[in-house]
Amino acid sequence: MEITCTGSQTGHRERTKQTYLGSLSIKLVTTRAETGRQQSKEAGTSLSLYPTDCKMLFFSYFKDLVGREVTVELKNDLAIRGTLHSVDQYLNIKLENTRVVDQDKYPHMLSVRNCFIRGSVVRYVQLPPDGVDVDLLHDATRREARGG
Amino acid sequence: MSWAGPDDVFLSTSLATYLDKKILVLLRDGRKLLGLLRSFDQFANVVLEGACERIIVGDLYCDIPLGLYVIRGENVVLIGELDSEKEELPPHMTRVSTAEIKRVSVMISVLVILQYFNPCFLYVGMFIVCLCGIIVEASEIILIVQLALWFALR
Repeated sequence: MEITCTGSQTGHRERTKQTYLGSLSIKLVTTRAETGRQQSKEAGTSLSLYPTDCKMLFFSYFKDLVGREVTVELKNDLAIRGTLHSVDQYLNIKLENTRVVDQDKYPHMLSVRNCFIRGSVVRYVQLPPDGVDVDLLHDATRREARGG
Repeated sequence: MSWAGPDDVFLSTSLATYLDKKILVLLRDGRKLLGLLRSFDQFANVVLEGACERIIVGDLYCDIPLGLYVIRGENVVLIGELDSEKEELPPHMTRVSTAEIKRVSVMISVLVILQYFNPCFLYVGMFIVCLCGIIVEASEIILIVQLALWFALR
């Protein structure tokens, strides 16, 4: 590995530092190149991500969760727990038998049993512990990434 | 899909199941609107008939009548179906007039500002607020004490 110093007056200490930095950066580049090769080999084709497809993956994923108990945390910190009734392509969520996690703070939500949550205001969806089959989702993600 | 046919409307995310029912719309700025859902679309734009805004301060609340409202979907956070069998609010909450709730919310903000500068000011602030309460209307002292207690125990 060739490291060229810009100044002719550079001391030994500085040179070691540069060498170290240089090797580090080259190493990083190599790693990235290797990973890229590996990924394209696994995927079979070059990577192509379609945002709409990505969204549809989560849409179909949420559709599988219908009927399960989930907690939806909104961007205004309101957390609602309920049975997932349905999801649509905007990831709007409908919950049944809802209860607010911090009931005392939100008294107006007391009589709300069923609710519709706009997808754009959702921060997190907490799933049941067994709600995700990692291998299945992993495969689906790779399929989506391939664009098929 | 929001445009699902009438057969699977009860299984879809469509708001059609809430049509002609009393709903609560939570807006992005924290406002709470109540009314009858008369119309909606795929953006969650909604039309509320007999809409009113519910303001809650501590254990006090008031409903301000607004009339027929069209709410732009981007401001909607949540649309909740109100269960007619259940109480809308916990029983310990009391309904007050619009003027009263406005006064109370001003007092609360004064207390918050005072507390921000120094927690000790909170008691001074409460005293001032109590004094104001006596001056404004003697009957309001219970309200003020209730409010002060709620604020202190918060």
